[in-house]
Amino acid sequence: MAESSANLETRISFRTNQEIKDLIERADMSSGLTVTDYALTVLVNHSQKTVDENCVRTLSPKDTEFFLGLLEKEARPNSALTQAAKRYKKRVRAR
Amino acid sequence: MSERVDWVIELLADHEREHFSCGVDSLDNFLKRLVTQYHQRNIGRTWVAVKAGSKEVLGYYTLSNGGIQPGLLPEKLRKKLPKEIPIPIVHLGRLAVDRSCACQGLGEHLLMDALNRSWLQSKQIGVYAIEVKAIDRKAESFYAKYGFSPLADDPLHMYLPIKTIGSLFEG
Repeated sequence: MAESSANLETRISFRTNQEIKDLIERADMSSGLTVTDYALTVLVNHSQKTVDENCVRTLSPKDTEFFLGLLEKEARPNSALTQAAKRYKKRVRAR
Repeated sequence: MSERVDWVIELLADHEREHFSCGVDSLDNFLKRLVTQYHQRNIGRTWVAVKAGSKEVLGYYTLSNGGIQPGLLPEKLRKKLPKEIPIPIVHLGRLAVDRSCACQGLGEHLLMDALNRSWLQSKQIGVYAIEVKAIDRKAESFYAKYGFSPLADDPLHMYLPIKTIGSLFEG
């Protein structure tokens, strides 16, 4: 988090209660960081994890086989899907 | 065809969304508070269902791009894949229907609309599969009914290969 202040052009601020603020301050005191650096470190790490989980995920070997197997599998839609698509085309206008 | 149309599904714009209530707080809040940020930052697109001539949102879903990084693979399988890039998918997130419209098949229409748009997208840039995240058992059986398959080690994530839906939306 050792960004030079010249690059810090936007800000995040939020309200909380005293109890939570005290807790955060205790945590960043024991980690030796300022509140800002501590909050950013925690937020960035957590956000990165969330983004990775939601956007690019790594599959286990077993699931990779399954995932690639979709290519070889029967491609035809099942009857529920076929009927649903027909109802959709009849009753919905997509714009 | 036109006289039977019950719903219009279009890109979220200046719609009325303050009264939307599907019964799940996170889904209601997303539509009311977060959705415009997603649009402005080009992270995802939200499509909404309205009655013809109305601006009141009665259902919605979001679409975004994602990728799947294959895990450690046996040599035989690895040869079939590019090593450097994730496999492209469309992620369908947050499909929700207002409580006033429950049991009218709107959830199904929204899913079909998402598949239709994913198919169009795949013709432009290439998409391997559509991904959904089933938040509960009900969602899981909803998606399974239309042919989505869950991962073994991560069963909340379910997939439908894009080639399955091509025949449905052509013509």
